[in-house]
Amino acid sequence: MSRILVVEDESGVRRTIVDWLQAGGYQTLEASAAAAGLAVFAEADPKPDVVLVDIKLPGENGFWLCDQLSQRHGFERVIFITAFFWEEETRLQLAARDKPYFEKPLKFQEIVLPFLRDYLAGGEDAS
Amino acid sequence: MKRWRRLRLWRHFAGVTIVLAIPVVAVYFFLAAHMQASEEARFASAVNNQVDMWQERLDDLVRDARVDTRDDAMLLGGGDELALLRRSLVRYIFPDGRSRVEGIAVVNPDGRLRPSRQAAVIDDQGRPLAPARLTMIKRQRPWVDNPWLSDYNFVIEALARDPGRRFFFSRLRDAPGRKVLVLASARRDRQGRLQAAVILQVAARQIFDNLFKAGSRGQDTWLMDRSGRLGFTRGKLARASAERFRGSGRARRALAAGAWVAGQGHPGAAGQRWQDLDGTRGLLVFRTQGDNLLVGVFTTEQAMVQKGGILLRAFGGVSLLAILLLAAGGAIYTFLALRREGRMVELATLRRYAGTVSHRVRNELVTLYGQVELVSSGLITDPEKIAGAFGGPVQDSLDNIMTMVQELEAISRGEMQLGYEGQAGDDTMFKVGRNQGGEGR
Repeated sequence: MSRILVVEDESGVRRTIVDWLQAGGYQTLEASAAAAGLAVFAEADPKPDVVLVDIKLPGENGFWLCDQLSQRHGFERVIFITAFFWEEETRLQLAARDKPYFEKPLKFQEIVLPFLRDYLAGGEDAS
Repeated sequence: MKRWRRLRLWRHFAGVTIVLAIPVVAVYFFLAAHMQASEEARFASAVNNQVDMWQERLDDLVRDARVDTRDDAMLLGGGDELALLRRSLVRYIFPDGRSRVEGIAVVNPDGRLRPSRQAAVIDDQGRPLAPARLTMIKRQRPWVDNPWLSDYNFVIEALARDPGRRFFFSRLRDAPGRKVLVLASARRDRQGRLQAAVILQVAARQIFDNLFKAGSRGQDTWLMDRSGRLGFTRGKLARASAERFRGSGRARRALAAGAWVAGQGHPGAAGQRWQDLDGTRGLLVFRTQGDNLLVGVFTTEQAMVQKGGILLRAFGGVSLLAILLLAAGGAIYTFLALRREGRMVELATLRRYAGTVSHRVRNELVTLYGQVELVSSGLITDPEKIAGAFGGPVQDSLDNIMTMVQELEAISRGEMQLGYEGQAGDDTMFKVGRNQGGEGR
């Protein structure tokens, strides 16, 4: 069973994501900030297969976590969640990292779960 | 707009205004100095010309007196002495009966006047003045028909002392109500002995009235003899000017120079110098008649630059107006710039706030869509779990949306301000209370 780390500061959003992932058959780990997410990832055993991270977080943002996971753990399977896709800066940062992303509000049944299934199977690599 | 930003703009405006005003002020002071120097030079030139004319007139008077008394002295004993003197005197009489001298007479070696003496109470035809005219002149000069001094030994002594001397110019001598000068030519026998002297007597006041008065209005004028005695002063500062000039020894030096210059065929010495009379600075322009008389005109610096001062004040007014207009223009520009910038900041703030609202709504929609879809898709069927979902995350999201709606209404009513970063109120987006939209969503 695949493990997914969800890093989202808003508890209602985080709970909804976790509910959906668990309903889709995934194990979940949770964190409400980037630094906390990095710590959870470091301690997790086994390591998560995917990290689902909100871009806008208090303190360090989701891009920072993505970069830290890559540099410290060589982990690249990061999927961003954002409500700021309309923002030019966000689009530039996403393009620079070439990672998949979901735009809020999330369409779980239609997009998120099918994508994760293919992504973890090694098919999809972009949103 | 931030307070510091507004202050910075106004400081910039003040700085620019001051920098632009500096050249205007500099030009003002430059022109002030230039105009003052120019006006002083112009005025000094005018005064010098005027006093040169006075010097010429004074010298003419002395030369005329010298020639006339010399001629009369030569002709003494050759006919009607009274007629001779009367002919000479009429040359000094104006048609209206005024005279430039008090009288003409012959002085015997004992210092007494001969009966032929002629007081200037005749007209320019040699006839006695009309009684009405004489009465009027007497009101001003009661001594006019008997102007003579008690004795004229000083003339005889001066001429007798030097057998080669042909002309005498007295110092100022006291007479009732005035000071007089006596000019005399000697008549000598073949051996050089003094037989008589023909004198012309003139009052210092008459010299002023006849020679200087017309051109001296508003000026401090004085006349001094070679002994340093003042013949007249006109104006509040004239006496102080003359006394300062005499006290400094410059009057004596000027007269000495006058003697030398007269020997070269000129009327006398000329000069000018600045004087500070108890805080009143001014220019003294002086001339000598040989080494006999010294005439001076003192003009205050303030009077000298009066015309330049008017121009300068006019320029100063225009300069001040220009600076004020400059400042007003700058102020209007700054005000408009501030308003424009304020509008732009408002627009940017509004954009940021719109982004914040969009972000918050999208987050709530994640919860609402997610939870509804969980139920509608049948992934949650347990009634307790369904009730938990709707009573928990769904209810929170709906509450948050209601809070946002109230916030928008408060903003529209002006009860809540938007912050520069696009948040409502003073907090940043991440510090807004959880029940007002959540932290960092």
